Amino acid sequence: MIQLHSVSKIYGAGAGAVTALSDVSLTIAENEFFTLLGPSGCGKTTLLRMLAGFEVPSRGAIVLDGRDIADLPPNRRPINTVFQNYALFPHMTVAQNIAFGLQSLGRPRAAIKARVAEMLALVAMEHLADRKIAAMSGGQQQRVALARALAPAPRILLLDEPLSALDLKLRRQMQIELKRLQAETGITFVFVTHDQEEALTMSDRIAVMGAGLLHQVASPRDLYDRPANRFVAGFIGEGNFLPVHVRSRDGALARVTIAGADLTLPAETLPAGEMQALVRPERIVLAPAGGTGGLHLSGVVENLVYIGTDTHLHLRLPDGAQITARIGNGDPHLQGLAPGARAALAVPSDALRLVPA
Amino acid sequence: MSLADARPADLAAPPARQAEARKSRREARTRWWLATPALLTIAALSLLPLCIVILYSVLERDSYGGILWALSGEAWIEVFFQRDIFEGTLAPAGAHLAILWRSIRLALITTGLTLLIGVPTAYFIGTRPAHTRNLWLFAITVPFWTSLLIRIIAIGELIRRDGLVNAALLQMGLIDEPLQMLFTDFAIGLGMTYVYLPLMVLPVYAAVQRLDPRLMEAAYDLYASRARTFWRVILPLIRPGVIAGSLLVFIPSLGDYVTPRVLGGGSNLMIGNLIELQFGQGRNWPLGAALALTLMILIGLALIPCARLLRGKAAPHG
Repeated sequence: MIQLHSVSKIYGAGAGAVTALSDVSLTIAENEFFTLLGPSGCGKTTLLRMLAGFEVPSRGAIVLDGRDIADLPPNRRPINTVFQNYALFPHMTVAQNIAFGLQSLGRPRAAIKARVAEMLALVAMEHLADRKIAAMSGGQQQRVALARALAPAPRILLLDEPLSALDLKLRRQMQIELKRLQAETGITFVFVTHDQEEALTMSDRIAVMGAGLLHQVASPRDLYDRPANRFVAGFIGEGNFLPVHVRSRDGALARVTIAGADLTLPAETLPAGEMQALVRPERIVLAPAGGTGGLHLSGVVENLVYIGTDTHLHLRLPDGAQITARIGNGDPHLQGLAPGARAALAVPSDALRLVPA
Repeated sequence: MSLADARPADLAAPPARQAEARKSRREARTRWWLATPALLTIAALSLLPLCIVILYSVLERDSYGGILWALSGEAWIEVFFQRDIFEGTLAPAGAHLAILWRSIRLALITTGLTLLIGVPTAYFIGTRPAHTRNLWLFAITVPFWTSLLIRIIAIGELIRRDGLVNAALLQMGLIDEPLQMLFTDFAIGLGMTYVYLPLMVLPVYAAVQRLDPRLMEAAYDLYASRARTFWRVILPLIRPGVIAGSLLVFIPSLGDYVTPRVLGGGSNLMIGNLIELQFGQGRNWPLGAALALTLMILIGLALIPCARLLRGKAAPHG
């Protein structure tokens, strides 16, 4: 288990100081596939480099197995890294690359040989052991980098956007491969990415970061269904954000107006302060106007975009806001709809999520 | 591809492509003209003199200088052997061999010292932020602003018996009487190390600059100590630069003439001085020519292992 206690990183000093990471606290469990997700410049790479030991926190503690390791150099931490562009040693063969960490640790020759063979088998590269790195494709280099970092059996494996250099098909393949490796080795993986789809597919838990702040740590499903704030809701999946006006709050119920439509909701679902309503496009259905229960909106169809199984319906609401719905192509209400026509949409109450603005 | 190879393909090709092939051949010809001045210069100032030197080395000496037009192997024998004037017997030419040995030894020591000082310096400069790097490189080139001769004479002044270095050492009480540093092999080594250091720093710097800093991080991450990172990752990757630097230092220091002349005094000759002597006071041009060729052969021999090192393992990098 590794814990971060109020970790901050500030570059520079005085007026020119830049806060890369501000007061981040989180716990990563044993054998967890943990992802740090956020746009570039959000501090996720800084956090990863602190775990690796390449950066020292300005404040706070990093505790591994009850010991603060924040000041330990990288070569004295049981943590290995898969670098973004692999950083394989170009003058060594595949096997030599994989053996490097074990040799540094002074393991006996026979043990190194056995472990290298084991690692080569793990990433299905036995036949390429004596190949030079320059002769490898991107996907193969990726596997070598994984094998090299896993060979010393670290307590934690850090992965810094390792799939970003691969094409889409290979990336999908490697996502499954990574998940398998994590399950087989039982090593805690800390994965950094800016790709939300990648994060959702692979992770046990995801930490969403933005501008040096930790916004939410949760399972992929909870992040999607119950985002903590507008930033998380906008970053994970697609969503419509509608203005919310709270008319009254009495006891357990609250009366609100969402995009011009009145609605009564349980008061406990309302966050404090300013808020917006999140509606996922796939939770919206086409319905006859004037139905009851949930949120009913009607407007003018702006555009219909066929995307295979579904159609994206862009609707302009009377108050000028635009809303996107994802409608199954089998829906009979979709027949005869064209740009310029009027259409009515319904959002079930449980598909409405009020988030702090 | 030769022209003969190209022709059948051209005939089969559509006219447009034939025209294109003709154009590229014409361009190849005009490009050769660009290299012509350089080729002529090399031929006139390098190959031709070399032929003359080879020729002179197998001719007979004229006792008043110059050569006699008669074939003789005497000069080559004299490189390594001494002929007894009265009996005509051969004995190893101790003086020549001592000078040869001193040249090789001092050139190797100079190369070693410039490596020891130059590689860390180059690594330091190569890992500075981009904007300060040029400042450091500029600092390395500052000595070139002053004439080589003046710099060497200045070193001589510093290490004279009553020079600054001895004065300082005496003042500090480290020595009781001045050290004899000038006119020793030490002085020559010091001078050459100083003069040739930039020639080591620059190529090594170029190699360090191309190093991916993440490779060092990867080594460090994989439990390597700083020493292990240097020997197993940094050094193998900057090897082309290190070999280039070593050659750039070793070759001119082996044949150096000015430094031993100024700092070695009259007795501590190197092979460059010996060659000069044969064309001057010695009046033995064939011997001078043979010695010059011996120096060339030595350098050639030193190049062979370096070329093998470069071809062998460094190829995949970059």
